[in-house]
This record gives sequence, C-alpha cells and structure tokens, in this order.
Amino acid sequence: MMPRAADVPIIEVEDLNVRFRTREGLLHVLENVSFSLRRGETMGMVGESGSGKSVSAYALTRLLPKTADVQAGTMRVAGLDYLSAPKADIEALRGKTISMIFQNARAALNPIRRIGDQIADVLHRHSGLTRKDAREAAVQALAEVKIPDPAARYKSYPFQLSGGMCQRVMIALALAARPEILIADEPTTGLDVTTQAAIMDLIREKAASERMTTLLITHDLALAADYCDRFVVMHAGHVVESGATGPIFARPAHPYTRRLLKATPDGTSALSDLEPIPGNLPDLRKATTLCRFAARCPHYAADICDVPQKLRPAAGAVWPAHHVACARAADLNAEAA
Amino acid sequence: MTGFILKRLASAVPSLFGVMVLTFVVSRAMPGDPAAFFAGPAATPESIARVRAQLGFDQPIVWQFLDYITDLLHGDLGLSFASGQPVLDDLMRRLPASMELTLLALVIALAVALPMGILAAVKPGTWIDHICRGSTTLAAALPSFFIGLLLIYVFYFRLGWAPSPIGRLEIWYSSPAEVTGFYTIDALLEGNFETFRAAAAQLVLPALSLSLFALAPLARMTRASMLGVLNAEFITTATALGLSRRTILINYALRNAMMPMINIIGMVFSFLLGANVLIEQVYGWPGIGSYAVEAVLISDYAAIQGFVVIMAVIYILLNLIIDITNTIIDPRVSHDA
Repeated sequence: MMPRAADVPIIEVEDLNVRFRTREGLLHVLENVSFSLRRGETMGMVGESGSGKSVSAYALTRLLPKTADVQAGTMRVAGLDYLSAPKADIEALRGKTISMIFQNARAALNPIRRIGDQIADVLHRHSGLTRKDAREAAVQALAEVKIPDPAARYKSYPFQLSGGMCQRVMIALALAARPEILIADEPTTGLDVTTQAAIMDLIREKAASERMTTLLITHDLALAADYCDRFVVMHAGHVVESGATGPIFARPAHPYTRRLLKATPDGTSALSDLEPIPGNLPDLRKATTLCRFAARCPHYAADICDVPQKLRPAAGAVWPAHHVACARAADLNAEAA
Repeated sequence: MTGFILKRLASAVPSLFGVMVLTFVVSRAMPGDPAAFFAGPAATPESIARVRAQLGFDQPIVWQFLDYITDLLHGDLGLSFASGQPVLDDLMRRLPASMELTLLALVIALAVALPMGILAAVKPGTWIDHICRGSTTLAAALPSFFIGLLLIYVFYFRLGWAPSPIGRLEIWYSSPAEVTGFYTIDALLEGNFETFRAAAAQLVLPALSLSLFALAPLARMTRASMLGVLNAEFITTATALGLSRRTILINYALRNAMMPMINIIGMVFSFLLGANVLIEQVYGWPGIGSYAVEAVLISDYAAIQGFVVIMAVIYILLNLIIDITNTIIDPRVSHDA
C-alpha cells in the first residue's frame, strides 16, 4: 500500500552530525541526531541551552556559519534531498517553504527599516507581488497577527514597539510567504507570561489554519507540553528521547528527561520542590563519554553505559514511537515499576 | 527640524568662544615681533614702538582681546599684515579653492574606499580583503606631502602628463566667472570646456595625493562597520526569510553600516582640511591652507586667528550637517537629543 501523503515526513533527518572547526579543534556539536516531522504536526525540541537545538534548526535552513561541517545519513525537507541538491535549491526554500522566527525579535528585525516595509520585502520576493501590492498585503499581514491599527503600525520602527509586538511582527514576517514549515526558535523567551501565552496561541492558530508544520525549539518543557503533539529531548548534541507528549510526561524513559521534568515548574508545586539538574553540559572540546549524560547521571554504570547510544523503542511503551537512547532504560523502567 | 538646527547652532557658541580665546592667546604667545617685522630691517626702536602703537599692541592684553571680540562680532577679522586686505576677504577668496580640492579628494577616496571596504567585509580573508588592507596601509604609511612630491615627479617631471603644479589654472587661462567659486563647476556653467579641462587637470594630482591620505581610515571603517552589521541578528533573519543577496547587502546591511560611516566621513573631511595645509604648499594651491602657512611664517596674527576661527566655524557646520544626516538616516535619533 502506498503511504498517504500525510504519513510521508516533511522533515526527515537521520544521523545528522555537525562539527565546528574552532581554534581549540573540532567541536562535535551534533552527533547522530535523528528526528522527523509529519506534515501539519507540531513537534517540540527541548533541552538546556547549548544542547544543540538551534544548531539543528539552523542546519535545516543552511544558516550555519562556514566553520560548520555538516554530515548526515538522510536529510530531506519538503521533498528536497539536502545531500544531493545544489546549494541554490536549498537556499530557495528559505522564507517560502521553510521559515523561522527567532528568540529576540527586536534584534531580529532591521532597526532602521519600517516594519511594514520589511514584511513587504518578503512578500515582494516570494509572492510575486508588485511593491505597491506587497505594501497592502503587508498591512493585511500585520492585521492577521492581531496588531492593532495595522495601517499606522506599518510605519513603525522596531524600537517603537514592545517586545511582544516585535514578536508579532516577526511572526507576520515569517508567515508572510505562507511557508509549509515554521521553525520557532525560543519564540517566547524574554517575554512576560501573558504575552508568552498570546504569542504561542497565535503560532498555534496560524499553524492550524495554514496546516503548517511547526518545529518549536524551547528549553521550557511545560511550554512544549502545552503546544506540541510530540517532542524530542536533546542533551549535549544527542537526541536522548523522543515520542508523543503524553507518554513522555507519563513515563519519561531517559534519566535526563526525568530530571528535566523534576526541574520544571507545574504551577502547583513550590519552587523549593524543583530539583536542579546537577552538573553542566560536558565540554565538547574534550573527548566525551559515549553517553554524554554519564557524568551527571545518578544511574551511571561503567560496564553498561559505555556503549554507543542509539535510540531504541522505550520499554513498556504502548505507543511504539516512544524512543529512548539510554542503555539502562529497560532496567530503570523495571526499577520504577 | 528648524528648532533642532537652531538648538545645535546655539550649543556651538561656547566652543566657538573657546576657540577665539585659544587662538588669541596662542597667537600672542608665538615668537617673533610683528611690529619689528613691519617696521622693516632699518627700523629704530622708536619706529618699532610707533608701529606697535599703531597696531594696538601696546594696549593691555585684555583690551586687545576685547577689541578682537568686538571686531569679530562685526564680522571683522582684522587686516592681514602681508596682503593689507581684510582677512575675511582673503579667506573667502581662497576658501573655494580649498573646498574644491578637499571635496574632490573626499569623493575620490569614498569612490574607492566604500566598494573596497564592502567587498572586503563580504568576503573576509580573501584576496580582495588582503589587497584592501595592504594598499590602504601603504597609502596611510606615506606622508601626504611625500606622495604629493612623488606624483609631481612622476606625472609632471618624468611623464609630462600633468600640467605644472602652480595652482588652480595655468597662467594663460583666465579664471571663469565666479558662481560657486569651484573653477571646474564655474567653467562648466559657462560652457567653457577648455577651461574646465585645464582646471580639472590642475586638480587631479593634489586631489589624488590628498585622497590617498583619507583612503585607509575610510576603507578600514567601512569594512569594520559592514562586518559588524553582517553579523547582526537581523541579517540572519533576512537570510532565513530568503531575501535576495542584493536586498540583504544593500537595503539591510549597507544602510545600517552607513550610520557610523557618516560620522567617520565627517571626521575624515576635517582631517583632510588639516592635511590640505601641506598639499596646498606642495602644489602652489591658492587655498586657505597655504594662506595659513604663510601667515604663521611672518607672525601675521590677524590672518592666523582668522584662519582658525574660519576652520572652527567650518567644523561646527560640518558637525551640524552630520547630525542632520544622522537624524534623516536613523529613525532612532530623536530631534531633541
């Protein structure tokens, strides 16, 4: 039977390795990272700062600096095979097929260009509109992200807008050309909680109405739980766990995910109940242990854990898509039960 | 805008006063006795004293200063000992010569430095970057008067391509009717292309010598400013949104990079006015620089003071122009700043 279109992943990444050439030598930033997104779904990518989330996203848009060496087993976005496609074809996806919103919207906008003109630039480029039509469409785009008095706001500069407004403009900008895929890189960091909810609702609403595939990158597990169908957990350049939101929350299989959950406020527990994760991400300039969480893991056992980490179906998972990369996942699961 | 300009002009009054005090004190402190100079080589002490009384130099220094200020406020910069003419007339007659030379030098320097700096920033570490750095360092390392002499030696003395370096026009041409005071422009306005060609030929070598002096700072700053902007987050956004390389470089990067450049260009222009003093000597250029040098050599107080005051006024106007340009380019600069 032919797979239905919806079942074919729109993003397919297998064994993505990214290394940065630095003065201190090669930094193995991503190691055998695999994930995939189906059309229309919202997937979270969760992990501490420095775990490689943004690097994964940048690899999808080919925005990594020249010092990055990118290798992959499979890398396919919207039907385009990154491994064989010419650079120009991949770059042609930007904005039109795959678009991005960034963490600090104010800095991500051109400080001396009117916000409306910036949106019009994107529309003019991708939608084949004349300058004049693009300007009208830009006002419409501002209205769609619920910016009050869009015609007047068209003429504003980023410094005249609040952080939340800037993020709305950023969303309007990213969605102007109606992309199929949206990567949201920490879209609500630095915004207050109510604005955060409003921005996330806006992204969700847009994703639903446009049937847009969304990759939400965040360090906030609670946020990912609220807005994502599925997520992958990253630690030090490894995907350590992936699966549907419900099962991961109900039965986290990786010790790191477990600790991450304990460090996430849920609104009922006191702040003092939260447990910080001990230690830091390993220094990637030095040789790392095969399991990069080993030094921080309370369950580390030298004889079992020192093996290459591979994502395997989590033990006892009802939903087969729940995967974990931990050699001790099965016996830890048995212990917990 | 008018209020802003008036406010800026008013704020220049204290610095203008400071300049007047300073020039007065410095010129009185200079060695050499102008009374003795004017009385001539056969003068007796009595005749020197007579001349001194005529010139007002026997008055208490405070009175001399008050006289000087009062005259200045009436637009009277005093009489030049050397020419016997009002200093203001002398300067105004010579100012267009200096301005024509300096502006052309600046235009040449910008025409070379801006593209060079931009290319070097867009392709850092490539041959164009190295050429940019090497050539500008060389140009900056050689003193401008030396370059002036070198160019005369090669292009006038050896090759005979350039006319003799004796001022703005060779003697068999008559100067065009004065409109702007710039011989090249006035000749064109008259439709006298032969005079235009002659005036332009006289201009080329001094303008080149002077422009080499400005090349290095302009190219270096363009490169640095452009590099800084190209690494800014909003450039990443523009790239991620798929805007064309041309739009990104010109509408996004260059416009932002030009903001600090406006200030640098202003500074370089004032350096050039200073460097003019030497170039005008080398080329026999009848500008205010050579006027000032001659005035210093014979302790022509009024002429020196007049020169410095005029330069101060030019600097203040220049800064005003820079400020206005900045408010036009950068929406963040407010008019009340």
